[in-house]
Amino acid sequence: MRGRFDHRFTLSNLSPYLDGRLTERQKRRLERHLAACPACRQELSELRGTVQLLGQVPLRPVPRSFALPASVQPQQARYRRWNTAYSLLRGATAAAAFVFLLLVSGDALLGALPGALSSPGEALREQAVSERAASPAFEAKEVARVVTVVVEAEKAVEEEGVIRAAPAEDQDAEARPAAKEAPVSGGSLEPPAKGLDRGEEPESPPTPQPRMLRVGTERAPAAVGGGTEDLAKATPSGAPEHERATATVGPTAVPTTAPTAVPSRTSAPATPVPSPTPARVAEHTMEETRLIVEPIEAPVPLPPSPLWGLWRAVRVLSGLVGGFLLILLAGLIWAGHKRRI
Amino acid sequence: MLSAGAKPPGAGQQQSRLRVVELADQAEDMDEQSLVASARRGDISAFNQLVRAYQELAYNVAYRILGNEQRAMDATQDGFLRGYRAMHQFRGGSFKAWILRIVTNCCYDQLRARRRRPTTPIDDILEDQEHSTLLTDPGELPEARVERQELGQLIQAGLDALPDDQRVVVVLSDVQGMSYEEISQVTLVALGTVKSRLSRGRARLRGYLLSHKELLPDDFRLKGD
Repeated sequence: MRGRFDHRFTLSNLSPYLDGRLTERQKRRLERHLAACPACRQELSELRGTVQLLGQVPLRPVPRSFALPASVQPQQARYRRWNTAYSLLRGATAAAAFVFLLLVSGDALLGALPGALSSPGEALREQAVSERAASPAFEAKEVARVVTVVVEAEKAVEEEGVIRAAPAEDQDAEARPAAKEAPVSGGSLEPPAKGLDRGEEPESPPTPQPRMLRVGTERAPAAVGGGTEDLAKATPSGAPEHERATATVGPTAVPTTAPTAVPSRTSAPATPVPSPTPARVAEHTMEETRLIVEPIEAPVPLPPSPLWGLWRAVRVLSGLVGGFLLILLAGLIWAGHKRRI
Repeated sequence: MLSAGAKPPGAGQQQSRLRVVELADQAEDMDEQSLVASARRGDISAFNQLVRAYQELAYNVAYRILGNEQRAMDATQDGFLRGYRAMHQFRGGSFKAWILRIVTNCCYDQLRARRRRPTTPIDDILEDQEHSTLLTDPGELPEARVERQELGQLIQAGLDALPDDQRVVVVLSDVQGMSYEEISQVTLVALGTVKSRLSRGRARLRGYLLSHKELLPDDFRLKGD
């Protein structure tokens, strides 16, 4: 093992050994190995011969004089001016880069401070929100506003094909428009859950939509002359109509598909659904109308944060210095190319 | 009179001769310093004296790096011109290393330009560099002259086969006899890098020469000592 290391060491240090550039310890180690390794001795001899040959390469005489003409004398002064300008440009670029870094750091620091980024408009809104949140009247209005949002969402669901529940005397009249709303194309209908024809309830897929009564869907096949096969299956011919009318169903997964309302074989409702009754929907509609009309009080304007002005100034300066720095860098590159030795 | 990179006297010289040479070197250094100072002030005649002192060294370095007389002349002239323009940037130290650095950089520029636009000038084809009449020794036998010329071509071909950085170091060290420190000043690389480049360059050149054994002289040691 040691012999292999010595061999590698010798081969890699023959050249400095020839030039006398090894330490005493390295030289002893190398010579000890040379005494025992004929291959390394031959390598050394060949290397020595190469160096000697190179030393014997004749010196070529100069084919002509390389002295400079007097006409180049002004070039030195001109080059000296270029060099001075280049040095000044380099210093200015370094200074601009330093200032730019300071401004960017300041921008980041100011941005991290709480309240520093409040522009006049933002301060306005923040205070309005906090004041309104503290008042009891505001709380009530907030609740009403939330209800408004819910009702509007329900309306959106209705527009996508859910049939609103109507009072009993209007069910027939409403069924026809509801049937028209229901998609009759088989392709758009969601196939019923498995086991449907055996009267089992379908699995309720998860849905974020509010639940509603969709009794009118049972009439869709009859109204449009048959509808889909699935719906026909779901409607047992023997089931009384009024049972189907009063059955409550779970939510549908996709509002765009026809409601997959399925009556249970028993006459009892399958699952109690906390959905708004038609009367409650009407109440919400009225309340919605009332709530939307009431305006929100305008908050008292506030002065902007003192740091905001500073932050804005820092940003503007950063942009200006950054642009100036780019110009300096371009000039530096161009000048460096011109003065290149 | 300034000498163009003359090697110091070897061992065996008498002490008095050594002292004379040392004094001569000191006088040359003082002359060179005054010439450099004048050249920095824009005195072109002082600079031309420096050119005459170092042009042979600079041209030979350029020739061995580039392997072509015309390109070597261009690189040498360009190097001296750039040196004159940048004299105000010379901060002292070895003027020889400084001017050789500029000439070497010009050689690198020539090599890069040749790689970007590989052309073979007509002069390269027609002119046989080692057959130049300038190198003819009247008393030399024809056979010896042919052998010498072929050996010179072989050595130059071996140098041309080296990577640029190894070739520069081998030329400065083994052809021009410069020390590791001087080579480090010329090439602006560390001493360790000089050592490794020289070691690899010599090993490659050795391999190239051995592949053309028939052209090597009889006294080239192919077997161990």
